[in-house]
Amino acid sequence: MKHETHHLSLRRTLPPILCAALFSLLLGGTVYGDTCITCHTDEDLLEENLAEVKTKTSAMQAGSG
Amino acid sequence: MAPLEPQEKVLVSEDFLDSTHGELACVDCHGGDDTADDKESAHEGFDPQPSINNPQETCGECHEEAETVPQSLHMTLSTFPGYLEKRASEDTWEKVDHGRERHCAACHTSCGGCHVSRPKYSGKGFVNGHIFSAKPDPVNQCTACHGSRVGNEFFGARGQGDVHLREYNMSCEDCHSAEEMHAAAPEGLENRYHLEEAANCKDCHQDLQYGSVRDHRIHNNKVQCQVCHSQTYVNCYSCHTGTDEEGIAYFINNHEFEGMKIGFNPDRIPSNNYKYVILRHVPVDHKLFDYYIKDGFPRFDVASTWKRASPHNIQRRTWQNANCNNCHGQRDLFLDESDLLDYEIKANIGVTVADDQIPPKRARVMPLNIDSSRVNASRVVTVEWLNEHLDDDNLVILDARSESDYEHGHIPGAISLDPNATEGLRTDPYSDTALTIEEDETLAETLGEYGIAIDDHIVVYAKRGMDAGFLLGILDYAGAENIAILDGGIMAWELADYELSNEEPDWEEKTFAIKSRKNLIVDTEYLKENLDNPDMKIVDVRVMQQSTGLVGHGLADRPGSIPGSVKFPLPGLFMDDSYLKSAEELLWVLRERNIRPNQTIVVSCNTGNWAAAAMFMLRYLGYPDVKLHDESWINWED
Repeated sequence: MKHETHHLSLRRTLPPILCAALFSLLLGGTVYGDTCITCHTDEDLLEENLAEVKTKTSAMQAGSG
Repeated sequence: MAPLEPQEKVLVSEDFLDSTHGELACVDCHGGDDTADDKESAHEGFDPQPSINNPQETCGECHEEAETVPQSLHMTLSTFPGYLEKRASEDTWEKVDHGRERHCAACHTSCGGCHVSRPKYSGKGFVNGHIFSAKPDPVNQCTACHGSRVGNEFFGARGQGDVHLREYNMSCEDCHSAEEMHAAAPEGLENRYHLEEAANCKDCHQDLQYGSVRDHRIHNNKVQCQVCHSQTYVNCYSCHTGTDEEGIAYFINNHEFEGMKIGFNPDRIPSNNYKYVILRHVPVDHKLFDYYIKDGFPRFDVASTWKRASPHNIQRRTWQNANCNNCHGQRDLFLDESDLLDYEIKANIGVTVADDQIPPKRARVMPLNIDSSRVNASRVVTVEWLNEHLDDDNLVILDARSESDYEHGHIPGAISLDPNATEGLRTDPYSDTALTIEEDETLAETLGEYGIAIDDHIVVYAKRGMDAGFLLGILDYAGAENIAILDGGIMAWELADYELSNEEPDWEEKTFAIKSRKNLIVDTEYLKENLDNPDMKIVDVRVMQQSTGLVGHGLADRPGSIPGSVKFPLPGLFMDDSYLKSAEELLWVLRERNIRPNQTIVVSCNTGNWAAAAMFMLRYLGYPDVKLHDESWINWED
């Protein structure tokens, strides 16, 4: 009886928990994608927001190293 | 390697999102705040190089190889401190090590620099929209860092490139396995050759002593493979480091030259127990870190400055193995005390080869049968000759370097004419018509403006011989007969300690009575019609990353090469530093590549510039029927 109760309880509670977990994962995934990926897949947006950052090489440097 | 725009460096491709790594959240590897709605907050705590800063908790979550990466040679460059510490003393080591950190340790990399991005040292940015690749990109990754020695040699930016690429389309990872790249370097590893997983020619070329090649049987285990199979390579001298007024670290390599030296093996270990090896001068100098500490190397002599080298420009047949006596008895080929600077003589005692230690000449050898009777020797002059003839009436000296190089000092009386930057020699590359040598009238006018007449004795020099060769190719086409390249260019002039001038000479315009040799030029249409002509050979003189289609030229629609063309990079004809190899050697090398004088040789490149230089050299060598495919690859269409 005790076993049955436990089984019933899981059967009732597991689907909503799984759904919630899956939903939050999906939602989470979308949020990751939206913030980072939205910018980093949009060349025009990146062009507007990024300035040329040149690695400074000293004028003194000479030779191929 | 073309530079990337800032947005290109961080642009993620849509295809990445469909890849395995695209299933991860960006913050999983890079940190940052993916809920922020402005750029600054989003990048707070962001790590652009997680594989360097945190490899085990990022890449290592899935890839067990990341376990050893923090100890890999790519990450630690651990053999550098070993050598430097040997030369330093307890008193100087701390400051020497600080200098090492600022300079030598700047170019390390980790997983990302080989599998997703260009390494930091080579300008950063994604190689392919953040898509990961198990095989590193040989152009954008491996040789983006290993460029000066390995890349230039392998692809033919110095010498004619490597047979493993040309004939077998092999790439870096075909020899340098993942096991080698990912291996943890044991503490105190003497040098990279000591790494158990290091690549070795004999991994593939096994049991040579039992093969059919007599010279393999004779030389096996005595002579390093590269002694017979590499071409000339670059040697660097006298690196000095410092920090400029803006606080930026810099180095200066005072001297570089292309050459080859055989010496005694300074590092005999079971996998490398040869008596003779190829030696390369490494840039170490006794004053390398004088900016940080004066005389930081009191034990400079404990290690040689000529190190075992493995040039990446292997050929089956080379000038050294063409004939026993090209190596035996050749004093110049073996490292001698006269090759050493004063302060490094002691350091190299163990590797120099005394006269009586040079393998003696063989009494009987197979003749090479090189016919040099058609070589037009007047097309090369030496600095000694030029110095004696500076005041000749009809001599015109042209400096084919950039204007800024010219302004820093040039041969007295030389006129600056940089063929890569002068209008009126070639048509506008951005116009709608094909890029070619200019029409006669324009070309003659331009040459006349620079004080050149068709019957002048014209000597051209540059820093790189191929720049001089390009201009000489145009002059040859224009009908000038008395033209010559200065062997060794400006470097030979400076080494001979002849006068340099900063004054631009006065010259008068002349009439260049052009007699253009139209028969030297062929167009794309002609080539297409003759692709199957057995009497015609198309020689592609581009570097091999282009002729093998790995990368394209900026003006070309696509990468690739003309069907049936032979890959022979122009630097196979011109040494790096403007010196020329002997006509006999060049004729032999060309014959080995089956580029023979009894054929019509058509030279082609991307834009026609390098091809013009090749045409000059082949005509100097006496090839009777050389054609310039002036339109070259950028005008080649399907």
